[in-house]
Amino acid sequence: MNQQAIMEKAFLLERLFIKYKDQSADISAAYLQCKPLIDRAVAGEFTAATDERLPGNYFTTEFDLINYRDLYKTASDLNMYLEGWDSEQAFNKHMKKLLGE
Amino acid sequence: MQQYRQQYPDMSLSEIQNLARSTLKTGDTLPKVSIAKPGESFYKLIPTSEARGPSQGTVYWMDESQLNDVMSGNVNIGSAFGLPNKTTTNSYHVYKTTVSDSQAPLIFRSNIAPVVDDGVFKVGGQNQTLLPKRSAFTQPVQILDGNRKPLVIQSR
Repeated sequence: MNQQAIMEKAFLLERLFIKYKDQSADISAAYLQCKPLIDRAVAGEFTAATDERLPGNYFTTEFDLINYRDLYKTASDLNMYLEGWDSEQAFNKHMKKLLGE
Repeated sequence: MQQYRQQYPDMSLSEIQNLARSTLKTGDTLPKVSIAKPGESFYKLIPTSEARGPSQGTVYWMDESQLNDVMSGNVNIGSAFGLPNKTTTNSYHVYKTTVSDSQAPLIFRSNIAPVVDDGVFKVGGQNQTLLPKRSAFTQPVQILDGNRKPLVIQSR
């Protein structure tokens, strides 16, 4: 569990949402949906691995978010840290094993 | 996830996982996996008000039996397919994509989960066919009717 990474990713994610929300109605809507969890994450509420994730409605291929890669990557990283991983390297090692790479 | 990994080689693994998770959540059950054969076709509805075809990366399609079902005009398409409000309308054009020669992509079928979009409840319940490895399919083409005009399907 990496509480510091959760706080940092959540903080960055909010900045990216604010940066892009006027460019896309999808991003604006996703920001509203994600903001409660972002606020809790920035406040340091998550101190252990959790099942909670950013609401996924806008993270599919049907919406603009997938085209804003810095935002999509940051949101994905936040979910990764909420899952309980200490680092992206550890997560990648696990995933590559899972994918047989 | 392997199919997404092949489709989006530049994505990080956390993005791949997020995309796969978000896709799975659109179904109310774990999808059933199968292998599509060259020549097998899948269909996508696009609002008649939009000039564009399906987006490059969209994974959500329907098979031929479902297309026949919606062509009856007795399906509330936006609600039954859990479409976003922005693509919910009364009439749709139809696009077709086909498995390319020498390709055998994995495809996934599930029932569409109920969803709320900006306060609007969608019952879901229809089947969806997920095509994560779009590069194994042809560019979508618009389906025409007997008069060689774009086929239009009406929602109930």
